Amino acid sequence: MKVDTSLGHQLERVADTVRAAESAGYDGIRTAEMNHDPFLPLLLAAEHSERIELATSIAVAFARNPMILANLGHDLNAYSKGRFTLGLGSQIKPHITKRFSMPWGSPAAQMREMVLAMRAIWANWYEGEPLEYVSEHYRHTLMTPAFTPENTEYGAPKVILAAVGPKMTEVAGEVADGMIIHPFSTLPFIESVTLPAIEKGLAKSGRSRADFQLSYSNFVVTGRDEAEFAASRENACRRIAFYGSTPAYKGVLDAIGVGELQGELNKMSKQGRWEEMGQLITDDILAEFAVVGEPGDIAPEMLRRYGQFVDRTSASFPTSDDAQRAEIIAALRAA
Amino acid sequence: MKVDGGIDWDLSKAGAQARELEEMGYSGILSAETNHDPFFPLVVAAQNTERLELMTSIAVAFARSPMILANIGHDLNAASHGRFILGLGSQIRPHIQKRFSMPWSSPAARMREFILAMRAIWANWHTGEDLAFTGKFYTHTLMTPMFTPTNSDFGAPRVFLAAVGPKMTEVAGEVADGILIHAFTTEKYLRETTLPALERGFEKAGKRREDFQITYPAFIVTGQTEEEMAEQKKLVCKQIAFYGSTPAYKPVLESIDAGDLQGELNTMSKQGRWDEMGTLIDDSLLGQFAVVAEPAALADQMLSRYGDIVDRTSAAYSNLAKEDRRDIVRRLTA
Repeated sequence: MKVDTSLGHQLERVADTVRAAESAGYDGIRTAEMNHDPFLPLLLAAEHSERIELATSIAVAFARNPMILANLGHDLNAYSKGRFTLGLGSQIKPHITKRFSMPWGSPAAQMREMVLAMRAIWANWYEGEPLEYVSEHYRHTLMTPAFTPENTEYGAPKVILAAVGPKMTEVAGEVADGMIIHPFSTLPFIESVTLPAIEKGLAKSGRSRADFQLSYSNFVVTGRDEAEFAASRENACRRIAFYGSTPAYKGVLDAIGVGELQGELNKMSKQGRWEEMGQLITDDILAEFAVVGEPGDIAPEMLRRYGQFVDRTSASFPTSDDAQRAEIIAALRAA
Repeated sequence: MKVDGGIDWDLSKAGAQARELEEMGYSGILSAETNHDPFFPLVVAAQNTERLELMTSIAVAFARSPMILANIGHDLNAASHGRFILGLGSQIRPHIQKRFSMPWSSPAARMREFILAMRAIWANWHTGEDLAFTGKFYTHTLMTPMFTPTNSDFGAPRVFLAAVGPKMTEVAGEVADGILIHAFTTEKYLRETTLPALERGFEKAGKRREDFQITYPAFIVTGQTEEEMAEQKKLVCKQIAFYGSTPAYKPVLESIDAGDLQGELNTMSKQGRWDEMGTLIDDSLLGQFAVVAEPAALADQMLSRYGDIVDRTSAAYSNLAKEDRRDIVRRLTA
């Protein structure tokens, strides 16, 4: 299993962070898109590293158009000599329409078209295919030599999608090179919803599971001592409760038979009772989302549960003991 | 007068290029958007320089949402400690709609709103104003602490706008911090059309001329030898003829009573007679668009013609020796 870590957004710190991650043996480093541009740090990360894979996880696809993303993806992949993966997510309607002032259609169909539009643009740039992409959400029919990148040695980046529901998951299986499973997932949900939807998508495009990379970052509760363990547990419970309050994620709770919890958490979130919400996450529920144990137990348990289908993880290992963390990472990577 | 130099798209060279321009005394570097992302070279340049201003010239505004550009602008300005200038241009309808799959309508009004939307976002981030921007073209009403940048020491970048026609020029005067004037401009057009339009914009916003920067690249014909001069002249005449064939630029030719030329050049361009087109640009026409001078006289001519209106120039004279260029930059920026 490959292990990824995160890259912060402060551009002044990127060089140090990526060098440290590379020498610590991580396979990849990723940026999220929150309050900063997710691409600029990866450019500097590419400059200051040799080997490590670079990815957005995720960039908000619908905040941009396929041409802008095709161009960013091309430039980052060329500059990093083929190390870039464009990880995309849909965000939710209010953020797309009211934060980014961009159109929101039916997200799974729109995302499918977005990825296919980028592939049409790349096929134009790299193989000289005519650019004639016309679909419901996107239209790309104009390209001239002046706007065609000339440095095509490394071609297109890999494209992976973040997905939760079966429709978006199937789109990932059909048109993407991989998928990011949401941390708010359980084994029963992954086995009953995620994996079958991926297979359905792969079948549509005549591909096999070997062509597809699955990334999953489960929650991990551990620590070098009792106090760290307790803090890690509380933090995980609070995050699980936060996700659990979201109506869109009710299916995940349904899959472990506690669907009614969603309504309760939602009500509490509206009352601002964030601290209390975490207390509704019992040990049984926690164990569905998190691998819980001594530092030495974490890697074997992750591999036992997820090793069959997860290709890479960016789980964080909340121990302050660097040697313990290095051992977990090494054990995961060895498998 | 400030002087800017261009930077290549090649990211592996951008750092060294930027350092060289800084060492030579240039005021800033420009990154254009053609077949690569225009912001990446400036990120590389920012970490390799101390003083140079970093500007896109231009990034295609309508290919993006105001929020995306607000975010990139914030990040680049923070990373460069306030040295970033977001230079924007509209591009033309077919490129926005058919290349970028984005909406196009009344470009001047849309651009005005685009820049005001970014300013509303920055006011929310940097001074805590409510984000309640509801315009005809853009809506930005949602922002939460999680999506708000926290490193606000350097605030918003300056915003410059590329404009040719009087409407877009007035918008630049009203809502931008500077204008990027097209090289295909005559001194007459600049004084009689551009400046009055800017003044109207300044007046609308209650802005003073000294708070605003006028950038004008100017065509340059120069060379170390007679042959080189002749070669440059041919090249520049061809460029002028190329722009002159474009219907949208007819008013510029009209400013010097050469409006008829546009139709003629346009016909020739459709027949592919590019080389010949340049021969229609005679010396007097050339002089309207270009500064024609030996290296030693170039800076003085620039200053005497444009010194009273132009705040920065990006005049390129890459055919000159490095020492000559250094000398011109020194005189212009003095």
